[in-house]
Amino acid sequence: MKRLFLSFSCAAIALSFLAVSAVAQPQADETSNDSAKGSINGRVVDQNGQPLANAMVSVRGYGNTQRGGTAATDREGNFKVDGLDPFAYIVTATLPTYIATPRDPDATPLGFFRVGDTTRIELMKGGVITGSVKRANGDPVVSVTVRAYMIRDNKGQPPRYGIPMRARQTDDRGVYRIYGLVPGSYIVSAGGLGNVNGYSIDQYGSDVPTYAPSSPRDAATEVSVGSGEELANVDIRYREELGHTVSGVASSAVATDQPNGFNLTLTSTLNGTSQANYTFFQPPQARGFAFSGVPDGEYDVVAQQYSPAGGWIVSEPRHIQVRGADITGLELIAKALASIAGSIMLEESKLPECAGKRRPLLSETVIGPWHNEKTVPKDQPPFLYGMGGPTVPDKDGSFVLRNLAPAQYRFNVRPLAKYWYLKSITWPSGTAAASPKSPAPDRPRDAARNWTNIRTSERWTGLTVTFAEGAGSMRGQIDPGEGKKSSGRVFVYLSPAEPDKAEDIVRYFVSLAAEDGSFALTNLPPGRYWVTGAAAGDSDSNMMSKLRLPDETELRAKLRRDGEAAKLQIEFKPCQNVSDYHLGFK
Amino acid sequence: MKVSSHALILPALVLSVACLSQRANSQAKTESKTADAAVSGKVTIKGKPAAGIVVGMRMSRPDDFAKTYKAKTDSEGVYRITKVASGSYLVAPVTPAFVVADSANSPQGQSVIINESENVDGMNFDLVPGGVITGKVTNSEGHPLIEERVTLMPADESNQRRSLSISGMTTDDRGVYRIFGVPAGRYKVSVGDPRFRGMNRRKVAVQTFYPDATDVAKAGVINVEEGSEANKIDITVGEAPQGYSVTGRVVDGDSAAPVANVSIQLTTIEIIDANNTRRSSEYIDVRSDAQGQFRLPNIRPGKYELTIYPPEDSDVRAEAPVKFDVFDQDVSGLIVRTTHGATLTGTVVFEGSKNNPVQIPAQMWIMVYTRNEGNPGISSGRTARVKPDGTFFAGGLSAGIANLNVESPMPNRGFTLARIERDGVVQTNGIQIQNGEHVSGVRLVMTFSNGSIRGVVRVENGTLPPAARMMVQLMKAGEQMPLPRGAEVDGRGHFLIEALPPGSYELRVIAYAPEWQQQRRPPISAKQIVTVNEGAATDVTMTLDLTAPPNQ
Repeated sequence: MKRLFLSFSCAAIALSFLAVSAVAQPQADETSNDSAKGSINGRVVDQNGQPLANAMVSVRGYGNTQRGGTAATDREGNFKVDGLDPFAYIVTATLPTYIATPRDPDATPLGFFRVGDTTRIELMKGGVITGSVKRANGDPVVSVTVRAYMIRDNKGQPPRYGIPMRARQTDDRGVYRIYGLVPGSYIVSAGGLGNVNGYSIDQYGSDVPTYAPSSPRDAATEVSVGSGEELANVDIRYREELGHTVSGVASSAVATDQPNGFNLTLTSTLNGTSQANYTFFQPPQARGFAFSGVPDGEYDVVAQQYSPAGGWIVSEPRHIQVRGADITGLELIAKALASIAGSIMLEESKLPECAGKRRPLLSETVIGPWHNEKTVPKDQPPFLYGMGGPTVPDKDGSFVLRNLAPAQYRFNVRPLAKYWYLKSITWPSGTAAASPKSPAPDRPRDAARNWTNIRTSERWTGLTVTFAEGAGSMRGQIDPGEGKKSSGRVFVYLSPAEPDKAEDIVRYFVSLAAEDGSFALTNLPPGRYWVTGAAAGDSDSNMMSKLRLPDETELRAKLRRDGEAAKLQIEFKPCQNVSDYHLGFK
Repeated sequence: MKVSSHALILPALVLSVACLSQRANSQAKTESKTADAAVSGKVTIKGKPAAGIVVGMRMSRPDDFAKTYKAKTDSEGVYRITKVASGSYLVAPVTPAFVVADSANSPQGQSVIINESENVDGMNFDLVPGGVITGKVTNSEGHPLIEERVTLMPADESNQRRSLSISGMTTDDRGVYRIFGVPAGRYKVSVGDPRFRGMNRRKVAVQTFYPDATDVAKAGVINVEEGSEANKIDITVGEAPQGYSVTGRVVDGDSAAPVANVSIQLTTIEIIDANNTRRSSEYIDVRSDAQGQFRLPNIRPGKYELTIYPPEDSDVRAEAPVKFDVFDQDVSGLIVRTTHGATLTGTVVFEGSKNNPVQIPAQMWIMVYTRNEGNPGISSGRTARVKPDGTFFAGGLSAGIANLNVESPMPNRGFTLARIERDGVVQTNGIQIQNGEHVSGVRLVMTFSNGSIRGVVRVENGTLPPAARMMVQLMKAGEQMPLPRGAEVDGRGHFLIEALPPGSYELRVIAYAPEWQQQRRPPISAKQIVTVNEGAATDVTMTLDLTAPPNQ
């Protein structure tokens, strides 16, 4: 009997693509042995660099959780996982009360590791929120579930894949303590939203949740918690108001061999943005699902089912409004999510200067879908987009991106071999490019330059990712102006200098300079480029991803204009490495 | 006997009963019952009416299709649960900080059998405040041990195998735990109980009792009374002994070829005393690689056994577990030899009833236990999944007598395993398997069972002592072994046994009382033969004569 909450593990895999903070040592990829098994080792430390013992380190293959292994860190914080085949792995470390330090996507653009890598994983102490829940007459509310929802991270952004929540119950004094919280802004509630099932009685499950201090959701107080901080006296005066029931049945449009039951998720929305998710598990032989203690408001209800053979099936979200009455008889029919099948093509170079160079290892190549959150249909809860994770191609280069919720997509992929570059991402030529009058095609010829539009349950084949041999690379140093030290974050950009390549998105690159001013840019298509440097603005983050977004035409145009003005041009011939480039910076 | 009362939570265990569910049938069954019975009573706290208390009711044998009920007490302490379907239930107030003082109850609540449209009153509960035990768990350097499970056990030696499950039994980020709602009594508190040791908890290698004892006999005793709070019950856990690495290979016993990608199973053997050892296995995430090699990191000194768990649909098994000891250095060179075990393929078939169509339940497994006649103590088990077409395959079996049980996530709701056939011949004592044999032609025949027995026990010539309990045992007429289908008799003398195949049964009601045990009086029982018909409830009245001689 499986009560798998795999929706969370899939989202966790997508999140860890962003959230693991680690630094990989540069690889001597000329000498690596493709077929040997190896290990990934490293150290887990806290924010002060102190070793963390007994952390569980999990190494899992991208899209293939059978590969990998786990290890615990020793007293020095060191770990080693061996017996690994060459593959792309996600490395995460967990230790109770600690949380992963969010990965800086500019400092470590690669979210995964390969055999032979040494990693340094930093964890930070989570925050604590504690308080008591009492009734109006002062009596403690015992064993009520208190939930803390992170509605914004500490940069003020709503979480990309839905609202994380941690819960604990109060004790006999009505006191609760929730620890291990990611720094950010929270709202805290007690009671309500109980699951109605045959096994347990939730005495507070039928009540409307009471938010701190004693309010419904729209009057809830937000509290902020930082790393290692304890926020005390977040008290709740419990209101005993009955909520309503939302019930129905989830079923599957797809015949499955081994039905696993359904995960139902009720997402509350406030002003159009997702506020919180509540889940219910409808087991295989059950009569249906029922959420009790639902307050008035607007919700989306989604059913998901996981089958090991076919991945996730998900129903269309049902939008409902609870207004003073129960909602019954919802029927949710789960269907397959969309998928995109494609393949990686390798174009070798015949040039003598590129002879004898190592090819990219397909097992270490990761292709990830990236959805455009600006145009996501309003009724699709954000957590659905965490289900379509990155994937690794087979030996013959074929891959399938599964579990894609409807959205516009682009694709993150890069070859890891030094002398190879991403040449193009394309759909077959049958899907013509748009004319200014007709709407953009769902599957454009150039899928790097344009969004690909995926609708519910579509299955597409033919996405071609082409890697070509002949990449150049550059290493250099930023020279601050005379008498000034370069301070703060500085980005180094390359934009295509040849006019006919201006729209070629794969020719735009950015790298964050290190603290000592050194920088490196790799896997560059041969050609001429403008080199520019710019101090990072406060909102400049994840620039490599931003540079490649189809909508950011103005950003790229500006880079070219800045490049033409600064007149710093560099040319890369095939397989040419430029080292010791000095970039003057004001 | 004072017991605690907490939220009625039944862990969702897979119940190993030889019955299956059949959804279409059970749906029809439930919908045809009218749900208009009611249960009511009064909740008091030390005799005074308690308002605002939630009283919950769930089925005695809940399944994924069941409902729960609840109601709140009014200002007089009175509650009333309405719209109840008939059946066998457990009722208890949901008051985790209190303990139900009523002596005749089991910890899960008062059991009650409810008939259609019945009004059951008098389900009363008197509560007393439970005690609190709280403290901090640290290691010898004073660092808190986080998310460690704290186990509470009665201090009396005879009861030490039992442990209670009460709220607040895990340490928080400061290493602090707070257990509340504890019934009065004497207790010992510990961390690192091997029964609850998960994969991650390598910090507490040896079970350690308050204040810092690894020997239960030396553990401090905590006295809990009504409403008391025992604080500073701190536990200091000593340094964990160093772990070593254990390496070896899995090879085929005949060809010596490496066996790749099998899961390694590790069993820890603890010596309790001269006659008793305790074996425990925990899940370790280690598989043999392409060369058949494996490495177990961080194994503490002790005695162990290694074997393998091959993937589904494989017939590979280890010839014998490999025993080894870890003293004070790494262990290498262990060889696990595999052999091809026997296999068993079969089909599950349903003898459907005339009126009800048969639908194969979503998840069904067959448990195959093989008992070796030469080594009666050794048995091995395999789980085989039943495919949608009803076939199943169990591989890697050792030679001996195989017993098969059907398991399903949903307990008994309509089908029972009637007989096992091999090539058309009924096997009454299990299936004989030779070494490496490929057994086929096995049929597990399930029959429809929705008969039930509804009974009342009348006590004559006296009344039962206050703390007495009655139980009903059921066995097929003519057999000696009771079926695992007994039932409790509720406070009014009612009992209900459902989902029975038609046939003739012997019912035996047995009354127990602690008073009698102290007086060295044996329990009193009475027998009766009952016939169960398909799709019908058989009503029976049993008479328990308190003056009858106890020689039954």
